[in-house]
Amino acid sequence: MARKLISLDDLTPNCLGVLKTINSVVLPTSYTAEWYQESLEAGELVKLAYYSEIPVGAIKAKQVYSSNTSKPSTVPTGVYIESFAVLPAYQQKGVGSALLENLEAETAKRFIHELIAHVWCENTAGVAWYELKGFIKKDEVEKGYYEAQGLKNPDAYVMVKKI
Amino acid sequence: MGITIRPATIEDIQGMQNANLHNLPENYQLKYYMYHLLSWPQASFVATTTGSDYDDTINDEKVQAVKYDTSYVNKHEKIVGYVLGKMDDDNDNKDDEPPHGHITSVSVMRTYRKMGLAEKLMRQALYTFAEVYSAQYVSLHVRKSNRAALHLYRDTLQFEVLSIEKSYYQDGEDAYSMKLVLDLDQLMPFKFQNAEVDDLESDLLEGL
Repeated sequence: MARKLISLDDLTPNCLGVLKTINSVVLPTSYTAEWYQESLEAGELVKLAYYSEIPVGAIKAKQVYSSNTSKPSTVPTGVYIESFAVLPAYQQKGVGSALLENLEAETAKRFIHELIAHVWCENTAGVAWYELKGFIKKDEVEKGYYEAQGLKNPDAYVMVKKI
Repeated sequence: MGITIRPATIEDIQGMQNANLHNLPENYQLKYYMYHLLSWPQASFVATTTGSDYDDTINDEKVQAVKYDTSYVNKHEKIVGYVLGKMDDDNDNKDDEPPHGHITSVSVMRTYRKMGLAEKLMRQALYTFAEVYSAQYVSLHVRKSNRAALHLYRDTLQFEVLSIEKSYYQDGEDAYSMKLVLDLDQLMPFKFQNAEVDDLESDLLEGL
């Protein structure tokens, strides 16, 4: 039986290094060891993507709750994409779309209606890609979001997709 | 150089253990290999190289000498893969359980992969489980991250995933518990070897 060219799989302790490598190669943000350890518990919100059985992409998201602190909520209001990366050589091949579609389906399965992501302002290709996927750019810019990464213009757009 | 699949013998256990130590994190004492071969001599197979790549007529002592390497069982005969099988014998409290086999370990040396050796080894083992031991089904465990093995068992050999056993492995990784119900007619190895099928039906004298 022929294998599919692009397939998704769960994160296991033995492929944590793959997630680390993909993120560190593609993204300006670096994540802590704890973050990676926690991602093992993320279940369906973390996925690795394989292209011809080579791991080339990864997505990691988490449920977010209402920011209204006076009324803490136990019902998640959205799914926030923490990290999303595809190796440059394998971009434009549908790997990212497969990861995003899977996350959208998982979000819908949890009866959550909002998918949220931060995108660096200078990353016009990234913004355009998200818009193509049905995300809407919020008007207000998050100032200094990428300060720690030392990017020249550290502002980020908040992009939201209604599910 | 060719490669052959043949039943494992007691002489092969060191080569099998050598391959296991090279390829897998789950290792066993040598006596455990012996236990398999002595208890179920037909349930284990090895893949070995045959013949040489170079001119054998050279009368050079160095060339003629046997290689003292644990992966060699004979001259030119190197163990490059194995399947270690057993009949499940811990039926303490479930006497009504039909006889069934278990795959303890399968591996193929890195430089001999992508040649279908593991599939051939598995098909031979599955066939003998049914033919020799009347096994009704065969079970095995596979690491969740082992995508190549999972593809072989689930997609090629049509095993079904019974359950996910959390933290089955010592390093905390989950295992898929898999099972294949055996049907002897379907398992005949020749069916998967592109072998010529004997025509036993038609009249040989017809048309003469």
